[in-house]
Amino acid sequence: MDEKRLVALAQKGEIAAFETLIEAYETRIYNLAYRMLGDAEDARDVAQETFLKAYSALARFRGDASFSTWIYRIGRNCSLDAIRARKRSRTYSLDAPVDTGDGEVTRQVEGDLPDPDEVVLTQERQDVINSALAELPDHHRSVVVLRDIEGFSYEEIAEILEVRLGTVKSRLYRARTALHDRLEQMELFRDRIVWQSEGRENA
Amino acid sequence: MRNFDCDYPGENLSAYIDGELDDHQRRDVRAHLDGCTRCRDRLEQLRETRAFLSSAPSYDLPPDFHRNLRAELLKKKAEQKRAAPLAWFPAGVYVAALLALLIILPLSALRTFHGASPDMMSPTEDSIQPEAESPFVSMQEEAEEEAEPPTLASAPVSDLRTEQMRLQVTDVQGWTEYLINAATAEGAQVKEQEFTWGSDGSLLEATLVFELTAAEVSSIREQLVQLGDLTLHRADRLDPPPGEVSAELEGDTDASQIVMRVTLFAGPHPGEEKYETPQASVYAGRDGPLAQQVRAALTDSWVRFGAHIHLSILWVAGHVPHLFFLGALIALTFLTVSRARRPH
Repeated sequence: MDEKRLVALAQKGEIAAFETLIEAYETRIYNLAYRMLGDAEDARDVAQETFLKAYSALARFRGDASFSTWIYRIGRNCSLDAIRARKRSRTYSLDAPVDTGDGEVTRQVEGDLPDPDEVVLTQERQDVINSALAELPDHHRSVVVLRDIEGFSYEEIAEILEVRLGTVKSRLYRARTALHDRLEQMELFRDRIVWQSEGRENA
Repeated sequence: MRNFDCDYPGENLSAYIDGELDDHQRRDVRAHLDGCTRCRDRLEQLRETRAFLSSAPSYDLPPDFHRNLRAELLKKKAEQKRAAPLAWFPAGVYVAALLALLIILPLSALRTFHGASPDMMSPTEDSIQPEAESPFVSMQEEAEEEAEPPTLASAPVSDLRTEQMRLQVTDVQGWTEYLINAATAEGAQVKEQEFTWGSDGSLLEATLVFELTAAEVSSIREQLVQLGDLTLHRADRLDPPPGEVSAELEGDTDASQIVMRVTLFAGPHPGEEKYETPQASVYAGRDGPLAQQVRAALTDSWVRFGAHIHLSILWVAGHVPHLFFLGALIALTFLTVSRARRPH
């Protein structure tokens, strides 16, 4: 069944159709939220909130943007709402445990990294990426997550974030620059993490 | 990235590695890189950063994500459907179809087994006086009084305070949605809901508690009882569920505001029998008229089922067809009017 037909059924309130419709986006929206918030539990709540909002708002979806862009826009808004709510309610602690999905570890800061031989590489990488992302301003973080982790084109990102193409371009540059500096500070870039072989090389 | 002397716009380098520049810009970047070692370093660093981020593995969804989302969606639907005015429409169609079935089936069976008897096929002359002193009429009335279980739709609604209903269905989720549609269209609010999920994420049992007025309960209950024991294919669903329904009602006394607790569950219900016909499987746990017809008919075959319905309805249809059609008309009119009257 194609997307248009599913949208039409879901607009009538059919839950089964809606579930089929969002199947392809569930993991990706969850990951977007995870990278934006750096926390599994918050990410789960935001992802659920995103789909519930989408379900309610679907009647107003006219197909001007693609469904993908539309649902990411909701995901972005829900993430930003959650960040704002969190900033009001609690301060971000560097000592707070980070849930890596396999037990909790304490957030790694510079000079206090475990021996690379003793850690599972992927987990450390997730942790490093999340803590580096956490230090970016929200509007920079969302651009770099959508581009480098979710793999959207500049044009798609501009639609999702509702900004101009040039803004995407400059924010992405600044975000990457800041991330590079941060990762370098953590002395991870050349010595601790093997990453080159796995990166995308499509320039 | 600190202390770069070159002021070539870095965002062009960044867009260059993303392949987001046009031909002209790309040539410009390449020309600049040829002569600028600092920008070659910057480009390399941007590449490293991007590659490092891209190497991040994707997180898996939490295992209970789908289940929780589905429960929340059902809640949301219950909230939304409060304002839906036409949700009873499919039920009206079913009732009409049921009545049509009861009319057409005996007539066609009649044609098959008894030939086109003019007396049976055009029963108008006999039936002008519905109160005719035929012994069959009084016999039928007595039989119906005995067969009608007092706790079903015939029970006075004003005597009920809490009403419980257990509906066995093959597609619990489909029927839960249907019930929410139906009840909220009547103006009911879902006060409580409880869901039991299978290990595969399917809905095994759903309990919905509504608060309604007596009239609303009566309307919903009649619809459900009408729908019960029959195979239904919901027209508005993605995959029409073969709904196999049986209902039992328990009453309590003395209140106009009624709490209706409906449990929809999958799997066999103790004390019920399952009947297989060529068209459908039917669960029946009580001696309602339909269950009796089904059971009697199934002693032989589907064809005999038709013949049996013909025989049992012939008493009435042969003598009071006007009342029969009038009843159908009244039911349909009532449905139409009650729909039209509702606000929104």
